[in-house]
Amino acid sequence: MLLFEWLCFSSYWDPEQNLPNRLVSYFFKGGEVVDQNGRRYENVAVSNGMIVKEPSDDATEIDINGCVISAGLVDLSVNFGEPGSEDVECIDSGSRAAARGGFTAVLNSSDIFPVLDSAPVLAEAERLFTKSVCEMRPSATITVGAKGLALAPLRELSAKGVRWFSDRGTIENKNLLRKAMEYSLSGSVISVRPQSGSLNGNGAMHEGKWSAILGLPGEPSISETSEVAAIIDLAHVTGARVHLDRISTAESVQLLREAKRNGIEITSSVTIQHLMFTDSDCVAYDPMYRADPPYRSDEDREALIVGVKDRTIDVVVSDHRPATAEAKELPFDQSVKGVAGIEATAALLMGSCGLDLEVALDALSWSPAKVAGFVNHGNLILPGNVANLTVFNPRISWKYESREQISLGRNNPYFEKMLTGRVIHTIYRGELVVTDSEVVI
Amino acid sequence: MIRHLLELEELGVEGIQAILQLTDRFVEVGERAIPKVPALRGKTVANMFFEDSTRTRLSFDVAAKRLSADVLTFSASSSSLNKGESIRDSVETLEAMGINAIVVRHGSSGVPQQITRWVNEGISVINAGDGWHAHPTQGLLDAYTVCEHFRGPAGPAASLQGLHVGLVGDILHSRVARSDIQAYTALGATVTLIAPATLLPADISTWPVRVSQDLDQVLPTLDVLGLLRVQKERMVEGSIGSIREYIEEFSLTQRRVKLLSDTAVITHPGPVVRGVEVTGSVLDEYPRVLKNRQVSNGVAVRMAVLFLLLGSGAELA
Amino acid sequence: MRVADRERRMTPPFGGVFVATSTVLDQAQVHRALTRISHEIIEKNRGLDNIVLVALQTGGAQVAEHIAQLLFEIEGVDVPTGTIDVALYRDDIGLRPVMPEAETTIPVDLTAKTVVLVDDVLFTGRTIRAALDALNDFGRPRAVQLAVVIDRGHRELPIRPDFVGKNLPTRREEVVDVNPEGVLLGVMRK
Repeated sequence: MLLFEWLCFSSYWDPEQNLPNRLVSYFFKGGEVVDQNGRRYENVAVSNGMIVKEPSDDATEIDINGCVISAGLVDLSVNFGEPGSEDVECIDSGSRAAARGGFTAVLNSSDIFPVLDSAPVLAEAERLFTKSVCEMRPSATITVGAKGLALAPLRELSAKGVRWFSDRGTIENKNLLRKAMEYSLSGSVISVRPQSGSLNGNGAMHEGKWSAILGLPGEPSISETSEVAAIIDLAHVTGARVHLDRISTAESVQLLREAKRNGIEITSSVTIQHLMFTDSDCVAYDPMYRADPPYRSDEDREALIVGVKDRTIDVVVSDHRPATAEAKELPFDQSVKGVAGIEATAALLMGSCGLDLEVALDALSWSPAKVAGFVNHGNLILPGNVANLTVFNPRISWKYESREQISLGRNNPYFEKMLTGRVIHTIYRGELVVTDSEVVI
Repeated sequence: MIRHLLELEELGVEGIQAILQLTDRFVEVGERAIPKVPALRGKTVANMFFEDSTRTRLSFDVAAKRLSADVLTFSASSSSLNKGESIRDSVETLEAMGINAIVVRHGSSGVPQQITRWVNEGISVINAGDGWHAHPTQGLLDAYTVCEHFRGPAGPAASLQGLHVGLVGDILHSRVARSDIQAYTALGATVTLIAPATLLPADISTWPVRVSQDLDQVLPTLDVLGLLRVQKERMVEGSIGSIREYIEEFSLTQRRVKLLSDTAVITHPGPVVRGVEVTGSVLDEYPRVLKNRQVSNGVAVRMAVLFLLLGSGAELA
Repeated sequence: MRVADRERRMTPPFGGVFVATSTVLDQAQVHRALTRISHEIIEKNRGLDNIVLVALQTGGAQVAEHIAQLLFEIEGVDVPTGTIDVALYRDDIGLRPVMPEAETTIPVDLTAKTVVLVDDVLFTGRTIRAALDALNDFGRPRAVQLAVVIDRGHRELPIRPDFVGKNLPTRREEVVDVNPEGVLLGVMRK
C-alpha cells in the first residue's frame, strides 16, 4: 500500500492530474492583451488547456470588449485554513475566493495546523490541496514547528517538491537562519519575515505619533529595519535565494534598493493592505486594522508604493488570513491580525494605487510566478503556453458586497466599499473558473 | 450633543468648561445634609469593570446613587467572561436587562470605543479608564480641583491660564497623564512632563507640552505638581534602572519638596505608593496636598458627567 | 430679558426672540405690588420670626432681594434669604434640555422654619412642585408659602400662591417677562 501511495504522491506535481474537464475551447474577442511584450488588441483562443493560434470550431465566443486579458494572477501569501482552522476558511472557499479575485495560483502559508514542517504533514496538505480550483502549492517552515530552534528537514521537503520555506514569524537566532540558507538545496527560496524578537516592543501597532495618542504599545520601525539589514547580509554571504516577506517601512525599501544596486539577489513582497492603510487608520481602535507587520506612517506607505513602482519590491501579496467576526471583536491589543482580502486585492492594486497596469501585473503575476517557480503562470500570452489567464475591466466601478464574498473570513475592511476595476473572468488551465465575476465551478 | 464620554479631546474647551460648571452644582449637593437629588430616578447605570479598581468604581457608584439612579455592577473576575463569553456578549446581556449607561474600565486601550459600536441608540458609554489611553473623569476632576484651589468655583468659563503644571512619573503607561494633559492644556495651563525617555511615549512632538528630565530645575516654577505612579515592574522590563536611581532623579523626596514654591500644590490620583514616586511622609507633611479634595470632587464630577449624558436632555437638542 | 433667555435656551432647537406686546406693570407698579406682598407676609405670619425667603433660580432671585429689602425697611428685620435651582428635581428631565444654571445656597437649616418661596411667574406649578421636593432635602420646614409677582393661570398641579402681585390671564403660547423695569407680556418669535 505504501508503494502505491508513494507512486500517487510522487506524481502529484504533474498538475494535469487533478483537472476535471479540460476539453473546452474559448475564443476571447475584443480584449486588450497585456503581457511582458507590451499591449496589443488581439483575440485569444484557448483549447484543451492551452493558448492556441486559431479558435476551434466548437469554441465558445466570449466578448471581452473594454477588458484587459493578462496572465493569471499569482499570490504568494495566503492561508486557506485547512488543515487546522476549517471553522475560519477551507480550501474550497479559499481557492474559490482566490479565483474570484483573479488568481490562478497561490502559495499557501506554512502556518497551517499542524505547521508544515515534515513530510507526513506535506503529504496530507497536498492531498487536501487537490480540492483547490486554482494551482495551490504548499510552503514549509524553516524551523521545526516554526519555533526557531532547530532546522526542519529542508532537503527532504525540497526533494518532495517544496520550493518555498518560511516560518511566517521571526527567526531570532541568526546563526540558525544562516545555517538554513547554507543547508537548503539550490532552487529553494528562504523567505524571512524581518521582525526583531527583542525590539518589537510587543507592539499592537506602529510605534509613532498615533501609538502615543492611542495609548497602545508600539512596534518601532527598527524592529524591521535592523532585521532587513542582517538578512541582506546573510543572503549576500551565503548566496542563498532569500525573500523578504512583507516589508512595511521606508527604510526597508531603501535598504533593498541599495542591495539590488550592489547586485545582491534578493526579492521581497508587500501586502496590498500596506499600500492602502497607515497607522492613523487605527484611530477608532477597529481591530480590522491590526496587522502583522503593523500599518505604518504615511511616509512609509508612500515609500512602499514607490518601491512597487520602481520594482524594488518585486511582489504584492494579498496575505489573505481569514478570521471569524468574534476574533476581530476582541480588544485591539488582543485581536487577531490580518485581513481576508484576496477578492479585492487586484481591484485595489489596479484601481487605487496609481500604478501603471504593467507594473501592477508584474507585481501580481509575472514576478511572483518567477520568484516562486510557478512555471505555468505569469507567462507571455502566446500560443503554446498553458492557458492561465485573467480578464478584468479596469474601469468598472463596483461595490464589494460582504454577502457576495466567497471567503468565509469576516475580517475585511473593504466591505461595502466602492472599488474600481473588477475581475470578470478567470481561466485556470483553459477552463473558465470565474465568469462574469462569479465562480462557476 | 455628546452621547458618550470616551476621552477629553472630543469635548473641546467648551465641553470641558460646561462639565466643570455643572460640577459646581453637584459639589453643593454633596455638601448638603441629604446629598441626593432625584434627577436620574429610574435610570440604570451599569459598571463594567474588567480591571480591579475600588476607588473609581465606588466613586461612580456613589455618583449614580446620589442622582437616584440604580446601579448594576459587573466585575470581570466573577463573570462568565472566564467561560469564554465575549465582551460584546456581556454588553448585549446588560442591554437586554435595560440600562441607560455603561461605565467601562478595561486594561486594553480602546475597549470603551469598541463598545460604543455594539450598543443601541440611547445608551451612553463612559470611559472609566482604558489601558494607557484615557481616564477622562480623572482629568476633569484634577482640573476642577486645581481650579477650585486657585480660582474658586468653576463658573461658566473655568480657566487655568497662567498656571504651570508639572507631571512626573510613568507618563508612557499612564492614562491619567494623557487625560490630565488634555484637561489642563484645554483650560490654558502650561504643562511640563518630567520623566526619563523610557517612560515617555515615543513620539510626542505634536503634544502641547514641554519635556524635562531635571526635576530640581522645574519644581520651583510649578503651581501644581502632579505625581503619577511608577510601578516597580518597569524596573524589571528595563525602563528604569534601580529604584534608588529613580528616586534620586525623579522622586519627591524630603529635600525636593522644599524646592516647591509656597503656593504650589501637589496632586496624586491615588493610591500612593510610598517609596517610589514620593518618599516617606512627604505627602503627609506638605500643607497643600489636594488628594482628598480630588476624591470628593471626583464624585461631583462623575455626577455632572452622568447627569449630562443621561438626564440633561442635551443630546436631544 | 431673563425669561426670554431662559425660554430660548430651553426650546429645542428653534429658539426665538421675545417680542413684547404689552406692558403689564411698570416699575412703580411692581414696587407697590411687592410692598403690599411684604406687608401681607408680615401680617399672615404675625411678624418675621423664623421666616426664610427662598428664591427660585433664576427668576425669583431679584424679586426675593427686593422683598427682603422691603421687609427690612418695614420691620427692621434681616430675613435670611437663600436661592435654589430646582433643575435637578424637575419632572421633565430627559424630555427637554434641562441644566442647573445657578447656585443653590440655603444659609440655614430649614427645620421648623416657615419658608416663603419666591418666584417671578407662577404658571403650571411644576417648578413649585420641584421646589417643594428640593426643600425637603434641606430640613423639614414647618410651613411653606408661595409669593409670586405674576400668576398667569394654566395650572397643571394643585398648587396655589399665598401672595400674588397680579393675576394675569394669558394664552399658553404667550410669555411673561418680569425684570427690574417692569412686567411685559409678549410672544416668542423666530
